[in-house]
Amino acid sequence: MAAVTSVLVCEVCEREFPSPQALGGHRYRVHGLRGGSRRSKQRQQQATTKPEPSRALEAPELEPGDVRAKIRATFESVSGELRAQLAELEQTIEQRELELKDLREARGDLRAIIGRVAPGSLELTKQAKAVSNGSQKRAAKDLAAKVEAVEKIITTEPKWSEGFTSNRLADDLSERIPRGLSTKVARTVLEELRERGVVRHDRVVKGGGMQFKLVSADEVFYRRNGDDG
Amino acid sequence: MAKATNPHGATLFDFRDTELMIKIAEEANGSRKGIATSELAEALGFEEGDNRPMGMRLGWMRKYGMVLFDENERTWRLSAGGRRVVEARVRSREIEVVDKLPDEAMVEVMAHVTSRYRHGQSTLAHLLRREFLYGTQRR
Repeated sequence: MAAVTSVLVCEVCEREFPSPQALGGHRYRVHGLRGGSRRSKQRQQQATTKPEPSRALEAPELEPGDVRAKIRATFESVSGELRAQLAELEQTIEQRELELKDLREARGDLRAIIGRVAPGSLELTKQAKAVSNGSQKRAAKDLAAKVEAVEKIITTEPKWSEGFTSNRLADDLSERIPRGLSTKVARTVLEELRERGVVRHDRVVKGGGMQFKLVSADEVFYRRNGDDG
Repeated sequence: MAKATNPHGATLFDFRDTELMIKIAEEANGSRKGIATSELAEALGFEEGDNRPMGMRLGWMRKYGMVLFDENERTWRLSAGGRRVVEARVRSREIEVVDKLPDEAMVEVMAHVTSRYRHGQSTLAHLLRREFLYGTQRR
């Protein structure tokens, strides 16, 4: 028995095609005709009557100028909301910064009070420790330089052999010592030199200060007076 | 007249033992005649009549053997040991050698010091102990 093969014929040009897909493609490409099946016709009908899904552009009803206006309006609306949020956020930040500043000042006041009432009882923050360590090192280095400079001057210049106070030292040497010499620092310098045996306490002077004398001046005294005992 | 650093006494931290001893030697002009408590107090800047702190201090220094008190003259002078310490202090150049020693060597130096403390004269021992007290005071 011979096999039966179905052949589809184009109704316009009577060309033959082996399958419905081939025929449909020919009819659309050559003759501009969409599908002729019942289902195809139904789809075409739905396409013309059912509205397009809702879109912002609504292209079939708007002119090109209206599309741009619509986009601009949407952008303005969205950006306006964002700008409002940004303004609110900035206001909150500013307020919090003022509060933080106030809290930090209060903390500084408390630390100062505690530092006076109970010195050494507060544990420094890491940052404060670093700053404090750096400052202490610089201060120690500065003091060492002053001690060295003062020692050189008072042990080589004869006018210091009769004795001196920290006030006199500061008055006379302030301009000769690197970074100056206050009375308070002069006192510290002299006590350091006392530790080293360069000077000694000699007597208390008016106002409660201390007169210092060079130890090397004592050697001169002993050489001059000896011991007649 | 001025008051001492500590208006209530002439403590170790106002005047070290050697500083007072040098002052005694200075004011007595190196002689054995000695100096009265009031004269020494005046020489150190204490207020007139404020002799008690100095009297107390000298009493302890006498106990430690640094000074001698003449009961007849009511004066103070340096003991032989005190004189030697003062002379050694002002004339010594050996201390410069110690000054140049590195920190690590100071432990050994301290061992020698404590040995002298244990085996040396009592006056020296007191001076060493008190000098350590002075040097390690809280600043």
